[in-house]
This record gives sequence, structure tokens and C-alpha cells, in this order.
Amino acid sequence: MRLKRAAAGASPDPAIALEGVRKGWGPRPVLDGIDLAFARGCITAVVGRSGCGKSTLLRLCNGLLVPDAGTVRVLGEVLPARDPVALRRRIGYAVQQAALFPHLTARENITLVARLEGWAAAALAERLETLRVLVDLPVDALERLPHELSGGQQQRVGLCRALFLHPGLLLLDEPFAAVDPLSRRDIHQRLLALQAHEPVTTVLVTHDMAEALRLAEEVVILGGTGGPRVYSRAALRLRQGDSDAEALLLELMGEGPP
Amino acid sequence: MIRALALLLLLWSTAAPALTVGSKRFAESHLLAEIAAQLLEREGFAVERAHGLGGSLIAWQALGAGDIDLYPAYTGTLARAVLKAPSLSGAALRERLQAEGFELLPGLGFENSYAIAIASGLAEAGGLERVSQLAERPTLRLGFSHEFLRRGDGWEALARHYGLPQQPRGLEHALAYRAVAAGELDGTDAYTTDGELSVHDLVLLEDDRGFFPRYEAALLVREDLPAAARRALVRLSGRIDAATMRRLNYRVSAGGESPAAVAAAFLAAEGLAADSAAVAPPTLLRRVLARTLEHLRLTGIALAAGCLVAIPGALLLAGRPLAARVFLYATGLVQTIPALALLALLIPLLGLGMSTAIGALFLYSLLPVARNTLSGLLTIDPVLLEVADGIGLTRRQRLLRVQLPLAAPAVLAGVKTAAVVSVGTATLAAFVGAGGLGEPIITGLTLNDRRLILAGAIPAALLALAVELLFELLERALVPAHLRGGRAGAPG
Repeated sequence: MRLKRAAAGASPDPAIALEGVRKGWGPRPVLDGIDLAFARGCITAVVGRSGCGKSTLLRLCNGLLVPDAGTVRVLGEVLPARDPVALRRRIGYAVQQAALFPHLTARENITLVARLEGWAAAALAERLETLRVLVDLPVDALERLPHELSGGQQQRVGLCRALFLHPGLLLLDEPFAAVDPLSRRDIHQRLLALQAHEPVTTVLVTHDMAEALRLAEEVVILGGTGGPRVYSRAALRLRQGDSDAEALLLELMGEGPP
Repeated sequence: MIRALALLLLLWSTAAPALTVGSKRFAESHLLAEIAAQLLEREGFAVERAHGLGGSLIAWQALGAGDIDLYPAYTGTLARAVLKAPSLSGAALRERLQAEGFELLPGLGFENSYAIAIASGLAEAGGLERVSQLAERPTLRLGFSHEFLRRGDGWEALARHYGLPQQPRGLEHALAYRAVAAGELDGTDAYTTDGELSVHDLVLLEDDRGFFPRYEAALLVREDLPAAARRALVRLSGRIDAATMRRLNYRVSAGGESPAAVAAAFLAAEGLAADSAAVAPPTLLRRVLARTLEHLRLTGIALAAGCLVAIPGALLLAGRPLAARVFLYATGLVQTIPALALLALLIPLLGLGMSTAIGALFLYSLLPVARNTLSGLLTIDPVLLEVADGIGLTRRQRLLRVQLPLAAPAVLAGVKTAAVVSVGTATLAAFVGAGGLGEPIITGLTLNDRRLILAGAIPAALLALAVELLFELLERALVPAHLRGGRAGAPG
């Protein structure tokens, strides 16, 4: 079976490898015959229309969903993992609208799992401060409840929560969709700063081609005719020319595998 | 947990005193039980009273279970309502009762039966003495209580038995005597020991063809009653004739005296006890206070037990929709059982008193707590649960750290509902001798004493309000403002 390498140079030990994956709920599967590999150490964006299976793909990667057929291998482990909780603690996960626990303060949301893991207070405080500075969250925001934070701040808290345990893999499901464009631009810069500070393999699901081009080194187009297609950012930039990102996406979705 | 509950119930039941006298919920029964109780106290027994038991069957079962040691019974009721053998009477009835482990002591000296009462003037003028004579007087204006008109052994059967031609009308029993006395009515139905008969100038017609069943009053006791107690009680036999009973009843129902005081006066007058002033009843305030504490204990224990079962139950069932539905149906079914019926059903299992009342309140509290807990859990935003899984919480951690805190407002609302309902329903606990604020209410209803009814009803209403307020404060303290009232877990 031919694997579509999502990273240039085709790393021999991908962070995620999907082989012949099928997943669906009705007669027509959402995903069918998916072969994909995500290389370690870079951001890969998964782009496509709503309902094309982007989020499903992500949930297959941390075992929230189990494929109907095919195999999923994540961080060297074939799913279902022997210890799914331990595996998920090695994978950061953030979703649309942050989905912070409404009864916990920002600080409690961010440190929840680390506290359950029994981290010392000093280590907690140090890690929290590092992330807070990197995502540019005000100190007093830490003590607030989610509904007292702006949408952008909620997203930053969600990112901190996903990154707190030094994950080997970060899964982001349209995390910035509900944020206003200016805040989004700022958070994008924060994400890139984080990536520069501590590089982590990231899969970013988005319907926003411009966001994908800004953040990701590799772009996977899901849906359209044929299976998923993988492009490097350099190649896409070259093709884009003067047209806008959406026009490029439409063009890519209309054609077969590259 | 079940073992702990059983232990708790055991603690209540082992606190039983030496002898318990029961009574049913009408003044005469209360009064007779009080006479028996005071007599036993004079003999040196520690006596507990279980007044106002909710019916003949409850009293019967309580006697069988040993929760009470005696109660005033009527032969006709025992034969018809309890043993379902209407023809049983006299020696045959006593034999039958013996087989159940009970002894019917020799009769107290009167019968409490239905009778036809007419104005004494009419009786003298027309020479009316017997029911059979009514057949020759078709123009007599008769009025009967609605119950007597409806009963199987009431007017229709009586008219057939004696061939009576009159067309009676229905009216309130309380008005009937007055109407007869005022000459607006010629005759009505009466109880032979009704205290009202002693004030109105009425005559009871003789049941000369033996239509009305015999309701001879006697104390029904357990066979294991101490010999000294039995000896004391037998001294009451034949001491109370119908006229005496009417007089005693009247002192309670119209004279406003307490049954305890009337009983003491009777015992002193009969030379059965030396001093009628020996028992000083506790003040009303102190009694209400004691009843309120009893009430709180009943509802508190039942509510705590209900939460201990319903909340974990709902947590277990939250992921199993079918089982959850079955559970809700089952607890909902319990809810539809009338409180009195539920109490009666529980007596054979839990005995008379606190444990049965707590058992019933416990069963009633299950539905509101379980349903609210379940709905609290089910309305949590599914994305939050997915994220909880996604960031690596175990099932247990997810439950304790996310689901329970988010469902807390709903759980609390359920506990509040159960608590308020419990405080109200617990007034029925007095029917099974469990005390509480229902005791003064039921005694007040029995004795037609409005003051006593209010002494129970007002504290009960205040208690319900206080419980509501307490839970509101609790909610304010425990649930963050933005999670109150709204949907659980909706992101801010």
C-alpha cells in the first residue's frame, strides 16, 4: 500500500500513520481507504469543506473514535492503545471554542491533568509561567472562570492546557474558528512562537486555507475528487501566485492527486 | 451501605419501650387506648402510645408484628374488615383470634353500632321504640349521612330487611342531629356511642330484627402480654356502658378536654386509679418542639439514605439509557403509590414506627434525586466530555472532576425537591405511629380540635419553607453564579 508522506523527505518513523482507514456512521463512510502519514517535528494542516471528515480523522488519531477498517499507528503505538489514558496524556488536544471546563478557573483548566499526575507545585508554577508568557495571557486572567475571558483568551488557555504535559503530538481541531480575525492573527503568531520554542508535531484541522498556509509546512486536502492529497507549503505558495487562498483551495479540490 | 442502613433501622426498633398501646384515628379509640395506657402506667408499666394508626389493617398488622401490644377493637370490624368472615362472632371469633396469637379480652360493656335515632318527643307520642315500627309510618321524614346511604350494610339493606317504605334524603352527618332536634327531620342514622346524642334529645330505636352487625368494643391484646398487665386490663371489662361512653366521647369532642384528662378522670371516678391529677401533660410548645425534632429526624434520615442510593445509582446508570429508563419508571411507579398504601405495604417488612415511615420517605425521595442527577449528567455539553477524554482523564477522574461538579446544580435541585416533599409527606408518618408533626394534626382531626391541627400544620409549613430557604443558601454557597439555573456546562 502506497503511503502518502505528509512531510518532505518522508520520515521513516511518522508520528501518525493511517493505513486503509474507513470510518462512517451511515451507508456512506465519511472516510474511506485513507492512507496518510504525518511526519514528526512540523505543523501539518488538514483542510477541506465541513463534513469532509477532518474532525473524524483527528479523533481517530487519539483513539476517541475507532476505525471501521484499517489501522492507525500513533507515536509508535498501534491503536487501540494498551493504555489509552497514558497515550492521550502524550497527545495535546484542543478544539473549537476551547471547550474549557466552565466550573474551573483558567489556571485549574490548564493544570488539571498535571495535578492529577502529581506534579510538584514548583514545577506546575514554572511550566504555567512559561506557557503563559508564550501565548501572551495576562496574569490576572489565570484566576478567572472561562466565561469571564474573551474568546481569544479562552483559545490561549485551551492551547496551554493542550501543551502543558510536553506532548509528543498536538491535535488542534479548528481551534481558532470562533475568534475574531485580529485575535486570530495574534494567536497564530503565538503558536509559531511556541513552535520555535519547543517544536512539537502538530496536526491542525481547519477550513481556512489562509490559516493553513500561514501556519503549516505541509497541507493535506481532504474531500474533493480522489483521496487525500498532500502539498508542501512551498509548492502551494508557488501555485497561488496572486489569487487568494480560497481560490487556490477550490482549484486544488477540483483536481485529482498531484 | 445497606448494612449501615439496616443497623440504623435496628437502632430505632430496639429503642421500643416495655408496652405499646395503639389506637385508630377516631376519638373513641384514642380515648379507650388512653384509659388502658394510664391503667397500665398505674400498674408500674412503662407505656408508649401509638395513637392515630391509619386503619384497622395497620393496627392489626402492628399487633401481629409486636409493634403494639394492644388496641381497642370492635368485634364486627374484626370479623368483617380484618378476618373477612362476617358471620364470625362470640366464642368462634375469640377462637379464631387465638389462632392468630391474639386474645380478645371480655367486652368493655358497650357496642358502637349504627342505629336509627329519632326525636324523643316523636318516640313518646307515637310509641316508637323499634325499627320494625317504621314500616307502618311511611310519611316519616328520614335523612341519612351520605356514607350510610352508600354502604352495603346501610340504608338499602336496612330497608329491604325491614320492608321500610320511606324515601330518605342525604345530608351532612353533623347537621342531621340538629335537624332532628329542631323537628325538620324525623329520624337519622347515628353511632350508638356518639357523644352528640347525649346533648340532643334523641332516642335510639331498637334493632329488633338484628340487622346491624354487632360492634362490641373490647381490647385486643397479644397473647404474650405480661400476666399482670392482662389482669389490670380485664378490670375494665363491663365497666363502660354505652351511656358512659357517649358521655366520655362528648367531653372530648364537644367539651374540648384532652383524651388523657378524660381518661384520668374516668379511672379516678371508677376507683381504678387513685389520683386523676397525677399525669401533667407536657405544654403544647414543648410537644410541638419534640414533634418538630422527630419530624426532622424522619425526613433527614430518609433524605440522606435516598441521596446515598439515588446519586450513585444515577451515576452508574448515566451511560446506560435503557437501564436508566427502567430505573426511572420503577421509582416513578413507587411515586404513584398513595402514601398510606405504601406505609401499609411496608409495615410487614419494617414494622410499626420510624423504620416504616423512613422507608416510605426514602422510596419517595429516590425519583426526584435520581431524575435530576441523571438529567444534570445528560445535559452536560458532549464536547466537554470528549475533551475530558481527549486530554487523558480516566473515567473516574472525568466523573469526579467534570461531570459531578457540572451536574451539581441539578442534583441539588433534586435533593431540594425531595426534601420539601419529604417534609410534607412525613406528616403521614403518624398513621404508623412514627410521630412527627403529623401526630398533632391527626390527633386534632380525630378529636376535632382545630388548635391541635394548627399546632402541627403551622410548624410543618414553616419547616418546608425553611428547608427551601436552606437549599437556596446552599446552592448560593456551592454553585458558581454562572452555572446556576442555566444549562449545565454551556460554555460562557
